[in-house]
This record gives sequence, C-alpha cells and structure tokens, in this order.
Amino acid sequence: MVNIAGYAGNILYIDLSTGISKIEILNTELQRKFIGGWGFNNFLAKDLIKPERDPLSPENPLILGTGTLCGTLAPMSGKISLTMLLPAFADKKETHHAVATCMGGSRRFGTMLKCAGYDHVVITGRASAPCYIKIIDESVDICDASDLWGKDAYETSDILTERHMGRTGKCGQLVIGRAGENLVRWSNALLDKGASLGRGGGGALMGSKNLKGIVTIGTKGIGIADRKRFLSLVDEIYKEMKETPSFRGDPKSSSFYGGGVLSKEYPREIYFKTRETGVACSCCLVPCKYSHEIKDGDFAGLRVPRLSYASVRDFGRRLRIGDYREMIKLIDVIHRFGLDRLTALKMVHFITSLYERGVISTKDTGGIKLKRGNFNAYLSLINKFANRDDIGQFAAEGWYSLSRKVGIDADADTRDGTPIVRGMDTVLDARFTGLSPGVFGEVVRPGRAQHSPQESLLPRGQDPQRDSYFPESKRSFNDIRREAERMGLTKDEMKGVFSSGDFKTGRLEKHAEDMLAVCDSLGVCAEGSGYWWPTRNLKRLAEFYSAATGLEMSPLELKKAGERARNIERLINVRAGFSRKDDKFPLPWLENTKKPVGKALLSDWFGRRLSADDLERILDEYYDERGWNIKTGIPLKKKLISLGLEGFAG
Amino acid sequence: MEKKNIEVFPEKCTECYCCQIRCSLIYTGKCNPEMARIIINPPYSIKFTDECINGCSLCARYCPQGALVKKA
Repeated sequence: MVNIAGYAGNILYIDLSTGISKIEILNTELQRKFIGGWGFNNFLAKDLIKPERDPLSPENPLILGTGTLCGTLAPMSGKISLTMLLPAFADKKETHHAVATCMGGSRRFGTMLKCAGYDHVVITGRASAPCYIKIIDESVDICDASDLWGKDAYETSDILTERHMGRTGKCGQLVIGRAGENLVRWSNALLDKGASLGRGGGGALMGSKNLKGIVTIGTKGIGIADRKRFLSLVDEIYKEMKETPSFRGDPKSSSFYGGGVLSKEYPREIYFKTRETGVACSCCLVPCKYSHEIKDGDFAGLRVPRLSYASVRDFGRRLRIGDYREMIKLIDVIHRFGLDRLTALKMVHFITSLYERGVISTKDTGGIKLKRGNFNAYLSLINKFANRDDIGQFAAEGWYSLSRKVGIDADADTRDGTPIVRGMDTVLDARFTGLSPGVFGEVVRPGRAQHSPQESLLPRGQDPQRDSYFPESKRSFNDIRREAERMGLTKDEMKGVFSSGDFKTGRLEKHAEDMLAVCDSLGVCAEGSGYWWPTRNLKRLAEFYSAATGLEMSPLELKKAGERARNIERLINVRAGFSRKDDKFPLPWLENTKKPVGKALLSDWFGRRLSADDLERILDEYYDERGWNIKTGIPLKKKLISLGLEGFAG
Repeated sequence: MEKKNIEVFPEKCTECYCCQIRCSLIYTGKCNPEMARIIINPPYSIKFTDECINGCSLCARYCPQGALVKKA
C-alpha cells in the first residue's frame, strides 16, 4: 500500500465469490486526468462494467469511491460515490440498463475508508451466504451476517456500530434493509445511519451479492501536502460563514424547511416541534437535514435519525395524511426497508389513485382497500413493495412492470402518474418547477439523485433583472451569471451561453454538469440551493485540490477533468445502447407544452412558454455545447481528442 | 480527561467531525480522526482523551455548531 497526500493511494478489490481481496496502487497520471471519486469511478467502470450483463449477476461490480477531499477538513467534503450498472430497467422492453453514479453524504464512511488506505473499493462476485465486509486498515474480512439478514437498515446499523466501535467514535458503515435483500430494483443502501446511497437499485446490487453491509475503520490518516495553504483556505470559508448571517438560511423563507409550500396541516410549528439535532456530513458546516422525533400520539418517541422534512410536508399533502405523525412514521418505515423514499411514495400515490378510480381492485392489492389518507392501507402497501407481495412483486421490478400490471403507463397518466426518464421517476418535475437547466438535466444524465449545482434551481424573483434577491431564496439573472463565472466558464463560453438578459438552458446545463462532476470527484457537496455555498467556486476548489495533494491544478484543468469523466460516462452508456433516442422528455412535460397544469403551461426559468420544438432545440444546444453529435448524442471524435481520450475516438 | 477550559454541549453536535480532523492534523500531521484527542458519541457524550493538552481550545475554535465552547 502507498499513502500519498490528499489521496489514500490505493484501490481495494474484493471478490465475494472467492473471498480474495487485492490492492492496486493509484496512478498519479490518472489522478490528474480524473481527479478521484466520481471521475475515477467512471474511469474504472469503462473496463469493469459490461452493460450486456445482468446487473444482479455476480460479475457486475459495485464501485465505491471517496472524493479526493473527503476526510481532509475541506468544508462540505463528505460525499462518496457508487457507480454501477443500475438494476432499474431503463426502457419499457426491459432490455437495457444505464450505467450511473449515485452520491451519498457520509459522516464517517468516506473518512474512515480513506484513513484505512483506500480511495476506491470494487466488489464483485457473490458470497455463498449473507455476509458483511469489515475493512480495518489492511485487514479485510468477510464476516458472517446470518444474524443480520432480515433486519431493517437502522437496526443493522446499530448492531454494527456497537460491534465495531472505533477508538474515538463510530465506524463508517453502509448497510441494506429487506428491500435490498429482496432485490427491489429501486432499493438503496443506508450510509452512516443517515444518508441514502444508490438511487436506481444500489440496495438490490448489494443484496444480489448477499452483502448486508460494509463497515470500516482507518487509523493511517490522510496527508495534506501544503498544510499552511490548505488551512488558510479552510479558515477563509469559516470567516465567510460567520460574516454571512444568511449562510444558514433564512428562517422566514419556506426553503429553510426544505423548500416548497407550507400548509395548514403542515405549518412550520410542526417542523420546530419535532426537530432535534442537525445531522451533518463530514466537515459540513451547515447541516441540511435534522433528526426529528414524534413527541406524542401513537408514535410518541419515534425518532428518525435523518429526515428530509420537505418529504413529510409535500407527500403528507399529496397523500392527504392529515396527521404529520403518521407521515413521519411512513417515512421511517421506508428508510428501514431501504426503499427509495421518492419512488415509494410516488408509487403509493399512483396505485391508490388507480384503486380509487376503479382501475385496480383488492384482487391486485392483495386485499388492501386503499383510500386516500388511510395510513394503515399505505403502510400495508409499502410492506408489499419491500416483500414483493401481490402488487408489490410488480412494483419491485420498477415503473414499467407496474404499469404493465395495472394497464396504464405511469408516465402517460398525467393526472396521477409521474414523469419517468429511463425507468426512474424524475426528482424534480418541470411542470411545477419550470424547465430550468438543472431540471432539463434530468433528461440527459443517467443517474439523477444529484442536481447540477446552480442558482437557477431556485425560483426567479419577480424582477429577473434585479441584482440579487439573496437571502430571500429567489434568484435574479445576475445571480446566475455571476455563478457561471464562479463555475469557470471562459469569456467565449459566457458569450455562447449568455446574451443580454437571457441564457441558453441547454448550454448552461453542460457547464453546471461539469462543475457537478468536479464536486463529485472531489467529494464536495454540490447541493445547497437556498444557501450561499462557498465551495461552489471552481477557483477555490482548484486551490483546495492543489494544496491537499501537492499536484498543482488550474481551475480550467479541473473543469476539463470533470468534463472528461462525464464523457467517459456517456461513452459507457453509448456502449450500452443509449443515444439521443433515450434522452427523451417525459410525456407529462410534453403534454404540458399544450395543456396547462392548474393555470401553467411548461415554461423555462424566465417564465416563457416552451413548445415541443423548443425542448428539442434545448437538447440540440446541450449536445452542441458538449461537442456531441446533435443527431445521435454521441461524443464526437474531435471532442474526445481534445479531452485526451483518443483511445475512445473509434 | 476533564477539560477545564471548554464547555461541552453534546446535544448540539452534528457529527461533522471537524474537531477530530483538525485536532489530528495539528497534533499528528495527518487528518486522522482515530488519533484525535476528542471522542465523539453524541447526543450523549463528548470526551477528551488523556493525550489532550490542557489549555488547548483548537476544537472549540472550529466547532461550527457551538457544541464545544471555550470558557471565558
């Protein structure tokens, strides 16, 4: 093993079929080209992932990566990446799967894994019996998990924490619940009993390997090349935080509570009544999630360790659950199973709506009499998803299977369905948010748990030309323009994206994605819409990288590395059969270009109505900005050569 | 070890581990939480090891949540 500044310096390969593990030393030249984390995961994936394979076969690898700045004290640097051939089906015929990378915010896992000596872990094979992997420095053991199999994700986390306590705190851990064990194709894993990791089936991937979890403790530490320079960069951010009162968000703004609209059933008082401690990722100065505890009623004492309150409020209203305690309980159950929260709740909504419309009956639901607002019915349905019972058997296979079972395409049912792209429900819905660049990104990026960092994800202030609305959590055109400069766009690129008072949606998204690739490769959080995020600054990130590793990297080199990795990701998916035909705008959005939802037709960030032709034009502009063939969406030879990817130019 | 110059509020700890990483970087030369002189187990306890230096308040200076506060 080697240990170099910033990086741990090694890749750990574990074959669960043979129980054999081996180490490969990181190549410095490749580090400069792909940075680490997300970027390097994709470099590994191009050889290790074979898209023609069954994602749940033993040969399909699970590729974990820690970001280069993970564990180094760089603020907001807890993100780790999971790259995989998604178990979720990407097409209606269920013949294709996309290759994507999911990100998760770790408190301990990323830091401990790096301190143990590993930047990446590649897991292949299938254990003969339920197991968990224990990584403590050089010691890599495959441990019996027969006593854990069947337990929920929180319970498993607690047992492993007690079993493997570090000297100064908890071990890092990644575990699955029953949904992953039962190979639910949209199950995920639980990271450090907090964040989820693996949208698109990370839980099923682990379950297919009989892998209940991974725990890690490291004592070797991570070196910093230029400690004085590095710490002065960290201290600068601390200073900015203290000098910007709204750094922590404005309590008067609804985005303080996770965004969205408050209602009489879910007023802000409930948020404060149930909120407990903040739950931060490693080195995060401003936690975006809190633990919440129910203080009274049937579920008094129930504490959800990390809760997105926005889901409680938004789905509580959509599912007509009048008692917030029941909504928190439902989300607790979803977390424990290891189901994707958004997909689970959207499926509950869809299936309940079809039942109420008489499209399906108790014969399909396994006897459940679904009724909007009926907590017990919802609870039973969620159990069926996780256990693959009755309609759950079809739901577990994904949206296309569920749609076939009920006889209605979920994305064609604009009343009660949901926009679907490549088999997964979109996180944001352009009918309600407008088609800002980050929402457009849902169409072109295979994994969509992350949003490309940009101010335009926030709503526009009434006067888009006003200098700034900050801290009201609305944005102006100038805010977006200034952010583009911080993302490292050159003068020519700025001219191509921006004109007087306007920007090109598709072109701006390209650059925001490259910035996302940089953040994800460094392990720095790209979220934080609603707050001013000091790490969303390419120049600053380049300085952090250079100071930590001793490898001088200019901002443009860093951005190019992000772009390089994004092109590798695209090429892997082209090899899997994906092209422009798969970058399809979901049916509900296309419908909304002609029929209003409420009073609103589909519009861009400026509020200008979009036609179907406009959407194709946005996609054309995105491909053109990327240097990809406009007709096919495949990277052009010229672009690949400019990125040093000549070997892929064939 | 009892740390006389720092007041501890474990219920405010968000487990960012800035304190551990900062402490270990300064005192061992590497970011290495397992070698830090502060033990984190919120919401119940935050303790200092016997190696912790009396009078040092580095962790408190950089705690973003006020879980560690230097006594006046």
